[in-house]
Amino acid sequence: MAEVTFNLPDLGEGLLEAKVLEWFVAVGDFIERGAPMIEVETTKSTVELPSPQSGTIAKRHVSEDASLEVGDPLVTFDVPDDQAGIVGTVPEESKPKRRVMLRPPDDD
Amino acid sequence: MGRVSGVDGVSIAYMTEPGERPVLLVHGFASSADLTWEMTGWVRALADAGRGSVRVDLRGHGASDAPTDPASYSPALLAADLALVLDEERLSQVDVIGYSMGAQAARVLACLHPDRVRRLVLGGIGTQEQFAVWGAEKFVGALERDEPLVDPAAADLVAAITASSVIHSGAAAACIRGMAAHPMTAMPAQPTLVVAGGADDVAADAAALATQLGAQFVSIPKRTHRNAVSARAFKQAALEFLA
Repeated sequence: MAEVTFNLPDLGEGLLEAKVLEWFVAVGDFIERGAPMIEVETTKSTVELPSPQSGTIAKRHVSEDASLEVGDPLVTFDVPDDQAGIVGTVPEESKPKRRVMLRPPDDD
Repeated sequence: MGRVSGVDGVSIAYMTEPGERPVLLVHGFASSADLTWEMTGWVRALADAGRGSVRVDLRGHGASDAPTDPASYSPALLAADLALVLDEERLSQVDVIGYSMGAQAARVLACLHPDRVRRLVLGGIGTQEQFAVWGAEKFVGALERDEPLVDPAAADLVAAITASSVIHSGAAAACIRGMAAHPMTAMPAQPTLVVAGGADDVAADAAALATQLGAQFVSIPKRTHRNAVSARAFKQAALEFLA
């Protein structure tokens, strides 16, 4: 599996900040591309954003009632390796980072 | 985009989405068909339920003509525009969802053309026409001359209008004056659902309106006049009611 992170997109008209009203998905949920994912409020209006990707929600980067700016990380998906990078932009290097399992230090 | 010419020649723009039993969507003051219904996910939610939709830019708003004479605005004129759109689309009877000023227009449409409206969803309104409550001239003064408004809900709305690009201030002032000149007395007999945010100061007595109309009432916790319209709970309640 690969992780794909999406940032808050430009909502138009020079709007730079949005507040999260409601997430429709929780970590671990699978969501289809285009299904309603989150509802945000700007100074001008409220907007429901569809999911930019089919995949399992790995992380919600901002909680309800919190604000974020355009370009801030919004959501991370777990997607099968062969699908990563097909849809949208992947902000990190296209080559998946090697995962290193860290062992907690022994107490004794 | 479709267009019809209103009874007084004002050009009205509207957009349609294919689907069964199209729902007529009527936005509120200083908004537009797309801002209220498309960006908020309503069109998609209706489509997911198999329903088509017709969303109209009210006169003064969006891509419709924006006259600056208050006589060009009244609940009856807005309702007449909606009926002409239904004629143009050959829709003999529809369900209607209106928000805020759009809900007032929907109420009047349901009364003037009872055979054209099957069921009615009214969002973000209480028992009274809000511009009349606040005082149209105070509101216009705040909008055009930056005069302070005591009511925080009114001040919020003025700030939103000032930031908005969907209505010009001349049309906004005319619309406020025209709407405020007509007290809201339309009591539609159709099955009706009233929905309002729990923190909506503009529709604080929405429950009383529901009682007056013999309507169902759904309150959306924590939501304000600005952000109740996009709530999933609103969409779910409306889709269930119009099923």
